[in-house]
Amino acid sequence: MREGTRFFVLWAVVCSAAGFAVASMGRFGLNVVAFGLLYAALATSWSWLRAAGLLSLGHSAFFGAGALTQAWLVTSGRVSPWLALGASAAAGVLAALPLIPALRLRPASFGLATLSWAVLLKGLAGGVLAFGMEGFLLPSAPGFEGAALPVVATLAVLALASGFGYELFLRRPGGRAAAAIRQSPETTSSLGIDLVGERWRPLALSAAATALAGALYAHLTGSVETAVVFSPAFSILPLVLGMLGGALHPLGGLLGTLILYPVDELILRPALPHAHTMAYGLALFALLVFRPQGLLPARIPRIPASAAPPRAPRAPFALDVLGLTVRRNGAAVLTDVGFTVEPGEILRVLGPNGAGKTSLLLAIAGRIPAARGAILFGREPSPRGAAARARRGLGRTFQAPTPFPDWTVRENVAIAAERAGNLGGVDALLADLQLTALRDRPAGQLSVGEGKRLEIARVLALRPSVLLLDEPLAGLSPEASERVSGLIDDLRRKGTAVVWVEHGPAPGRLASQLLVLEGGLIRFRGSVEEWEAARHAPAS
Amino acid sequence: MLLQAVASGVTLGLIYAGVGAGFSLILSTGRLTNLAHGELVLVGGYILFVLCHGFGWPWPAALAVAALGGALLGIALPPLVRRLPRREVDGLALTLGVAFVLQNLLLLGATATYRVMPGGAWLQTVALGPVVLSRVTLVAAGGAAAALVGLDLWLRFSWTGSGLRAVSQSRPAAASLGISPVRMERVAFLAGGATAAAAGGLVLLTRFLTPGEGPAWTLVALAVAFLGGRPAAGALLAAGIGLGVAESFATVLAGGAWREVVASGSVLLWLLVRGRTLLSDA
Repeated sequence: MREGTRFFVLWAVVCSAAGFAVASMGRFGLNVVAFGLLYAALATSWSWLRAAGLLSLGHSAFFGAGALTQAWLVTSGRVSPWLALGASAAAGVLAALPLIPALRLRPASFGLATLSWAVLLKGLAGGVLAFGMEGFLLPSAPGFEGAALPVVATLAVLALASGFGYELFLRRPGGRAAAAIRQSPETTSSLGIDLVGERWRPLALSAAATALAGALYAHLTGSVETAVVFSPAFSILPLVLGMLGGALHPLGGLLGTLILYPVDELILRPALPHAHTMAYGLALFALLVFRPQGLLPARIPRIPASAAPPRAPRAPFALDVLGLTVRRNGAAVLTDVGFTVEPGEILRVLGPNGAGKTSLLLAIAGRIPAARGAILFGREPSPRGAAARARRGLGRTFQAPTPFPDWTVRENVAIAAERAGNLGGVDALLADLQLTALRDRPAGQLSVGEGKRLEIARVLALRPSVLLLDEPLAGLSPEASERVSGLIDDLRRKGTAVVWVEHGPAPGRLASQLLVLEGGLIRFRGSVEEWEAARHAPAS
Repeated sequence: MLLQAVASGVTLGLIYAGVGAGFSLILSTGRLTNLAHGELVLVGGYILFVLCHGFGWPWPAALAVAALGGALLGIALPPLVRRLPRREVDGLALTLGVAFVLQNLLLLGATATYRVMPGGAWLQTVALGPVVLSRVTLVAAGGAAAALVGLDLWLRFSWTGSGLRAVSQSRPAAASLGISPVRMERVAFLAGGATAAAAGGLVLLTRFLTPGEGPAWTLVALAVAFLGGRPAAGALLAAGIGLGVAESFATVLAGGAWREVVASGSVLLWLLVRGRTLLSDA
């Protein structure tokens, strides 16, 4: 089914079900509809985070912040409920601010951070802030009493807007960046995409929408208790409903709510008033075991053929490594390593296993810190962090191919080309690396050799000024090796400074200079001729 | 008052260490952050309550049955966990679902009423200089410490214990030595469930139980396991006591609402400082 059709069909079912509920059950039916819309908005805004590879186990922090702010402003501040809604959304964003440092964590660790933050915020709100644990009884305000029409209409708009917002997000560069992070953070960072910066937007939007839902909940129930609005239920329900419908689809939260919530409200709650929420636990259980992706398939943001205006390549610059010492787990893996690679030069790095070759690349790329020494780009200090160095003009390949598995081969190259303003060159690169026939295949299905060629295509699409290659020819056929070597030489001739790590003793015919490492120390540094002479000289 | 707060914190911390031990074992060997751990603690407490209060059993016998109940629940998890495509993330959601189900079953079976062990000679206090503690608290804290030391000795010196430690460090390397990671995982879940439920029994000896308390105990277990770092008696005891003393001081100085703030704040801080980042495998 097409996405547009799916949208209209699902909302038509929602409207029909809501109309039937109100017509057959009157006031109670309107309440059910209002809470259904509330949960749909919550589940959809929770799902936004999954699109960025984040898992929240503590959305009650934002829900509670919104509900308490709304209740406090309307009750103590006598502020109009409409005006207070804006402040409540802002409170949700404020409640998300302390989680910014947690955005660099893996999804599971981020989930535990949100869980802890929700409990912490509940304690702070109840024990420290002015709200207290007792909460508020909201005064009657015209149009805002219980499931009044303005409240229900606002909830419907919120449910609709959160779905639309999710869809728009997926179509924007931010959505593509978020999808890239979800698939492979390491590769995303190597394209110059800031992991924390790109994840902050979906978190803030999700928090704001959740806080708005909390604010409307305050009017629906007429009272707000701190312990209730911060309760784990408002973290778990959106999680279950979002995952049931399909958290990687903008309509997943709505579908999950449409299926599970009426069953709970109309059948289970009357039958098991104290244990009806067991259905959510059982649904989660069954879902994870039998259909972990949820009912709707993941909506993968596509990379359009012309998403960014073309840009000229960056100017070439030299790479200087000065007295670099790197420690990992307390032990020195590189000691006092130094060299310069001028634009248009290739430095070939050789050495046995454990020599420190990959650590050298990681340090230059900004992935591991230098204990001592300096790395200069164009004779100036290099920026901090892997993404910042990539934005400055550094490209790198990985020893093992690390593609974005959900995207096609073309999209894997296009996401890099988009960052460099080089989308026009994608097809030529695919042809150069004999990937044209594979252009529409998901990159997760490639062989190791094909993946290696894709790595090269992706990094060439970035048009880097400094290129770090980690065993780019390993696993390639002689013909493919020749072709890749030729492309690297082409790039060198255009002025790129290349650091090329290969395992084994052969210096390679393209090397301008050689660096031989052993046990983290420089054993040799000089020209290929000098190295050959040193190797063949008598032992004396 | 200062000494009393420290003493209360230490005894509370010993019980916390017991609560965190099973969680830590499942986390290290089973590679699962078990968000249903608090509910396993509660199940143990309720089994003890029913057997002691309803059937008049002596508490040590009831504690053994509680541990058995926890072990059975623990061993039910590995077949489900092994089906998950991404254990790290999906395991959180799965155990959250288990927690929800267990919590509702407890509500159905035991209602939301607070359960406490009946009083008697146990509640008599013992004065140790300026510090006054109830006998039951000392028994529960001593029991938790003894259980932890027993667990530690088992992990250090038994054949199974060394297998568990091997699997927790590297599954492929352990498998290459003929140690079955699947079997060790089962043992970890079984022992982890038993330890959690036994700790729940000790909790009931000292305080009340209610079905809604599971998440709070899970948070305590998370804090102890993260701060302790590994399932070793010394590390867990230090983490448990540190948390217990901090909570005790927070309660004395600022009130009961700060109790959960200490545990959740510890977990959050640990994650921000030591948590695995997106790029932490370099």
